[in-house]
Amino acid sequence: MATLLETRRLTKSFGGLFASRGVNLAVEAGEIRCLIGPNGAGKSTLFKLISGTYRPDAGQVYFDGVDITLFRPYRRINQGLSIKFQVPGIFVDLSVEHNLRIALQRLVASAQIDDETEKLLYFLDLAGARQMLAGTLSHGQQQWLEIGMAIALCPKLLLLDEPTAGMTPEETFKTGELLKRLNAGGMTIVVIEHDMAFVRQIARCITVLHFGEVFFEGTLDDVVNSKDVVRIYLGKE
Amino acid sequence: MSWLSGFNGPQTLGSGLGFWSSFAAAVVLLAAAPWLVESYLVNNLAYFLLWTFMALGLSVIWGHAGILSFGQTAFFGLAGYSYGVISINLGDANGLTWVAFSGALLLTALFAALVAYFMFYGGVGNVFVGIVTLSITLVMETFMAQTAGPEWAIGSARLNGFNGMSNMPPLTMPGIVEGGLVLEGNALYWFVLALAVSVYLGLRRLVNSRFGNVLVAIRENPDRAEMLGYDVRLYQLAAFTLGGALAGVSGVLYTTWGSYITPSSMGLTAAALPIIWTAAGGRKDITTTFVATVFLLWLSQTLAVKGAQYALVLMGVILLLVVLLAPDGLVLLASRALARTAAELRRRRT
Repeated sequence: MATLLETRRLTKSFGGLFASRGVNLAVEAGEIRCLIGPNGAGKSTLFKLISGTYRPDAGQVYFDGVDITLFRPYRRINQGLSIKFQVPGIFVDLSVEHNLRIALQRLVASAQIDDETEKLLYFLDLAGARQMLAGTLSHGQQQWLEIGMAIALCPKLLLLDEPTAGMTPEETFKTGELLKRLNAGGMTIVVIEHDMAFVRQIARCITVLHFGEVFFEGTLDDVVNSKDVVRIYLGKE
Repeated sequence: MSWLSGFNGPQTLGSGLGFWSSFAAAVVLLAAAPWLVESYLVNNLAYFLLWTFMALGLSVIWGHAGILSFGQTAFFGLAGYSYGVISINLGDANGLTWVAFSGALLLTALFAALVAYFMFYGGVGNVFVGIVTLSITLVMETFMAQTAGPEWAIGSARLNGFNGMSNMPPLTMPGIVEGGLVLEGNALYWFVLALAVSVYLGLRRLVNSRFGNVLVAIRENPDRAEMLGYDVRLYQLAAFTLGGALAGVSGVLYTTWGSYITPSSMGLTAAALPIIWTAAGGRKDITTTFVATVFLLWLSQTLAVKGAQYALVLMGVILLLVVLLAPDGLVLLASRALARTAAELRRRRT
């Protein structure tokens, strides 16, 4: 498998605080990778460095063999990257359907956009809420809507920052199955998640971040059996 | 009705048979105005309509793209003065006034694009766009006000300082009648009306197109819009340039209508008025903006008979009312109340 995403010594500090300290991360095409770590470990910062929201102080980001470190976010998206933020980044004053259309129109021709919107609405189980303002949806539905907008871009790499926050256990499970289906279709996915049951459901490889550095990398069993990870992440000796 | 579908969409109010029938009736009635009312009123109607371009442009910039420009009058004034300078130098023979018309609009659009480039590619955003654009219009007003001396002339066109330029030739259509058809009186009114209807319909298509969807996405959440792969700065530049060019259309038409343009057309009071018209109607919709602009201009003119200051005080009160009570606009508030009443009546009947 070829490496789709690679960060080399990626560093970002805010004042004197290092949110990302020389992070080296390689994600193979076709993987589902989970990033875990305690609060403040630098997971969301790493996503923002990859997506271009933040410029790194040092280091590089390579995507599909291209150095995208200096690319603006929209250029990274057009390279085949898509992201769902931790706080739902939807258009709250527009209808659910309108949100999806704006995302779909990037790739879908006008003649097909009605059909594709319809498919996505049913796929996301939001067909009944199509005319509702996105801001009036439940938190879980907003997460689904943003995931829908992210996958509407048919990305090579999907970055999801806590996609199941605010979801019921059933919705969380359904989200996991959705991600596995997308991955089976060839989409590479990197997920930041705290829910270990969800992590177990979807991921084969896990990267643990701590104080802005890669602390550990391995399978879920490796992670669970690592005393160091248990100590820093679960707070147990 | 499917041929109308391109003019309807989530960004515009009104889409049914009732709306389009009313629209057609209004256009026919306005077109027939020269036979129905006295010429003084026709001249006034032309005056009201010529300002709608600037308001519609602001609706695109502010209402759709979410950028508050306080300086649309800079583009209005630049276009007016440019038309004056070019047309006075070229004269009105052989349709040369259209060269002046096009040249003034091109120059204005280029200037708007340049301002937009420095603002949006330079990272100026939110309230600072309002401050920058207001500064530009005030600087231009101040500059033009001190051009009274004979040294301030471009070719044979004197800028005339605070008194402004005058005596520019009206637009002339070559070839229709001997010597060309001069667009004055009823002819100018019909021209302005046709242009206003065309621009209104064109903007309805534009704001409901993919481009319009992206503008609204930028207004709602620019970070998400960029994360959908849209170059936010480029769309902002395009919207701002379009709005500037439309303000330019108003500027040229105003100059040809009255055959004069003065620096005060770029002053603080002038700069505030388009914001009041657009906000009062409902900046997110071009129909409400259009209706409110014509209505408020009529109201201002009616009140101005009693004293110009009353009209300005009323405009200020209207702006306060909009900000405090109807942030989406008074026309939008009224149309929603009407829709609710109609729905309630229908419910009671069934």
